Amino acid sequence: MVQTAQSVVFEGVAKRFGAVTAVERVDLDVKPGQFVTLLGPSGCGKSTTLNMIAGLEWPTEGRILIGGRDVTHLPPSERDIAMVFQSYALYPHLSVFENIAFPLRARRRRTAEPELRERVRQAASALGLTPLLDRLPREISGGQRQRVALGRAMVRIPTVYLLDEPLSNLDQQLRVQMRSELKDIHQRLGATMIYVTHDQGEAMTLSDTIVVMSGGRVEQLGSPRDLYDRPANVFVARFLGEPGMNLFEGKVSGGVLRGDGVAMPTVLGEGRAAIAGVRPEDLIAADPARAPIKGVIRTVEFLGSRTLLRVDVGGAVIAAFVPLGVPFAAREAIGLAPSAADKVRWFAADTGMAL
Amino acid sequence: MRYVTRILAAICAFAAAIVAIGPIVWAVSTSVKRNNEIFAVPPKLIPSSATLDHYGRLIAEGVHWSFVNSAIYSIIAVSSAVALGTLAGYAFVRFEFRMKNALLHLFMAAMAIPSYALLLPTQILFVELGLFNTPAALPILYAAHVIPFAVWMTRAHFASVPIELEHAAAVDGYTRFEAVWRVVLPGAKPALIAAAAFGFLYAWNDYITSTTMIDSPELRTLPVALIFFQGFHGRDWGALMAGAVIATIPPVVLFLAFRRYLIGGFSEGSVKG
Amino acid sequence: MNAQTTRQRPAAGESDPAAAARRAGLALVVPALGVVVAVNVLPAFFGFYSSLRAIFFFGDDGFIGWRNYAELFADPATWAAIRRSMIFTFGSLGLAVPLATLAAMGIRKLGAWGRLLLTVLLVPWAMSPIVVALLWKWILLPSPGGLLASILAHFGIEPINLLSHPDFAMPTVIAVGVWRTFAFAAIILTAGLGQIPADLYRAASVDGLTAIERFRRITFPLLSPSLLIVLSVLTISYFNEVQIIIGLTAGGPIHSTTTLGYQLFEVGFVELNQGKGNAIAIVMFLINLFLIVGYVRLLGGGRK
Repeated sequence: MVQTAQSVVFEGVAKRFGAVTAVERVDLDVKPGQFVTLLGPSGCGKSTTLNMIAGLEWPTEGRILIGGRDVTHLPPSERDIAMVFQSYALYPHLSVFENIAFPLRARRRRTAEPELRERVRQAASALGLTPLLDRLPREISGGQRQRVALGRAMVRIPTVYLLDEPLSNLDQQLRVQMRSELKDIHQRLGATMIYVTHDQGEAMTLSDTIVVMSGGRVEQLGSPRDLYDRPANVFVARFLGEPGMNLFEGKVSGGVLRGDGVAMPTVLGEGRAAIAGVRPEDLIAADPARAPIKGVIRTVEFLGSRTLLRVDVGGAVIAAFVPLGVPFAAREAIGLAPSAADKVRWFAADTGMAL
Repeated sequence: MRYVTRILAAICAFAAAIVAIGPIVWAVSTSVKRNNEIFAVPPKLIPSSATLDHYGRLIAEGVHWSFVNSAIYSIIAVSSAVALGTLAGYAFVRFEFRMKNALLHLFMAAMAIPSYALLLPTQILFVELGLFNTPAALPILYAAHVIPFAVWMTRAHFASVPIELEHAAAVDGYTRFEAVWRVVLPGAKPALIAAAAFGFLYAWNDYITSTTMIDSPELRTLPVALIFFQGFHGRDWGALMAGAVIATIPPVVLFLAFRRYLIGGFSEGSVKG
Repeated sequence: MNAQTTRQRPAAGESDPAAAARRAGLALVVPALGVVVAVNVLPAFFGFYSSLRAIFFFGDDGFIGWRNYAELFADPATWAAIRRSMIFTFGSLGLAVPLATLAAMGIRKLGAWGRLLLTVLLVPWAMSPIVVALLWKWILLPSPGGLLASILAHFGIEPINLLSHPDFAMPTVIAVGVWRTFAFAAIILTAGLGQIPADLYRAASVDGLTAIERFRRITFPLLSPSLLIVLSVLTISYFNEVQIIIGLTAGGPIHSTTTLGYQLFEVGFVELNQGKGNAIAIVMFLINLFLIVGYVRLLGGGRK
């Protein structure tokens, strides 16, 4: 298919509803052909951001450019974007064929019937929908509906694809399968895709760039690897990873961060309040007497390839992956240590920002 | 035991059906009987020979023009009421505007309060406005009485249509009007049919509004014409039943054709409250 | 560039989608609203205004204060009419609601046949009240030709003219009115019964409840929201019923079927005493309002 991927640029975009701020001054630069994910918990402003790109909502401040063209106040129909909705939003009274063909029948890009048929057929065969073209949306399964929604987006060769939690209504197995297919489609089409999800796993596997949002603000922007290894603040640290990064709060005295059940060597200055972060897979069991982290095992979860321990440390519960074969039992005392000094991330206690 | 209750229920149902339909069958039978058989003792359900004389007499008296009047008034009233009601019903679901709730309550109150209690002041008002005894009087009144119902039906339907459907159409390159026309309205067909069918039954069957707003014989509706006919030919039961039959055919055919939508509309309305 | 900066300013009314949506919303409602206000709201005020004046045959003889109301309430005929309205309304309810409940239970029990039965029972509801009145007048004709009289005669019962007998006219009018309308209530009750989970009845049979107990303990309490809707819709519609009375008895014999609604018709539209008629109209309007507010309270309260 013809390459038409475009860039998407946000210049100080904000969205307010009265006194409530849904999105706070976002700057964003999505290159043509990139796969960018807006990631965050519900209510973080990611869907509002997507809707502003689509033109379903208008920003109260700032500009949005698609392919260098200012579209801030253009209606959705004039932006040449494609969108896949969480609910799929298939037209219930139209067949699968007509659903996919629907964008091509719009007056502004009226397509000749033979070409329209050819393009619908292409999109349908790429998604394995050919045998279903005459069915109505209510007559096909959830996974098939999801494909129809994708087909409707693909058929018109848009400037940008917007995907709003497209996989969240599928069951686990189908979700993983569609995730790989989506990645495949992206690579094949070379299209710009902006993807909204609350699932960090989806974000990590699919994206070139992840934009982590919370409370209407961008917390951090970067490649999945970057975000995972070097979270800019405690929010990102906790949000990425399954489970997220363990955080230990304390005060530095004598070159050691001391907190409840924690005594972690540090290079930070004396008297400083700080947070140490260690990923669950970067913790190893250590001699309880001398370990920097001391706690009591709460649960032991067998995961097949390894074991996940939940450990009470002070007032908090932390997670640690340990290899199989080492026998652990609940209510046992345990010592934990970072596998290497550079596996510990440091954050300021007051701002939560990385140091 | 279960078998016995089923049989009993079937018998009761059959009896109920006879009571509901019997009188109508009787009217049809009377309307095609010759006069000597109409008053026969004992009465005969099936006439020995059928005649359309009674229908002919109605036409001779010009009653068929009232049929035409009724049809015109009802169709104009219902189509405009459904159109206006749909616009309002859509606005109540998809737009925010000042006094929205107050206006919605106004419509609901207008639906609950029967028009009859306001007919007398309406009559005086229509006389003042020069609408009394004009062809416009009944379409306006019938439309006004049907609009709140149309708003209620369509609003309930639009509320059940996900907004994403309209968003999807907008993204797919359609204007808002096109999106509503091509995506939302096709799905609203049951609600629109229910509102229109109910409105038609109301307008077609009305007597009281018509008799109080229209004086001229040439503007009369069918029920009023039948009452006048009865006044002049009180014992001509053959012709009166013929009139009853022609007045009943349109609403009953309409009801049978759209019963699914009518019954569905009222069932849903009552369950949703 | 200049054009872009102006377009960016969201406060400029025209490019503000929220303000545009407010205008569009109102613009869509206004046509419907206009018609409804003109025909339903304006007359209410105008009727009240007229009820304070002496108006006869469209001639206005000026302001007379509450005299129309004073005369109305001093007249024993008014109170008799109100009493008959109550008899008609509650008599009809007393007949229609049990019948509709029975019908609804039968309809559900009979499955596909039940849906057919509901359709058949609803045919009279599709008919004009005035046509229904004509039809029944013919059936109730004492003879010769009257169907009911002939059937009764077959059983050796002397035919009487139900519609011209002061004791029987009202019950007859009620019966004919209910014949036309009760199936409408059956729609709502059938839907209400459909909302009751079948598991409850299975549980009840396991618990050994008899059929009557099942009705009293499960069907009735769970059906009561639907019953309340039926009661409210029917009360208001029966209280305002006038067409069936006009068609069957014209308020007679000896005023035995002159309800308040019929009196309004008689005084306002036949005698053309529009001042007094408007006073009756306002009284009816207020009773309607009272009934509606009452039922809304009941329904709203029942839901919480």
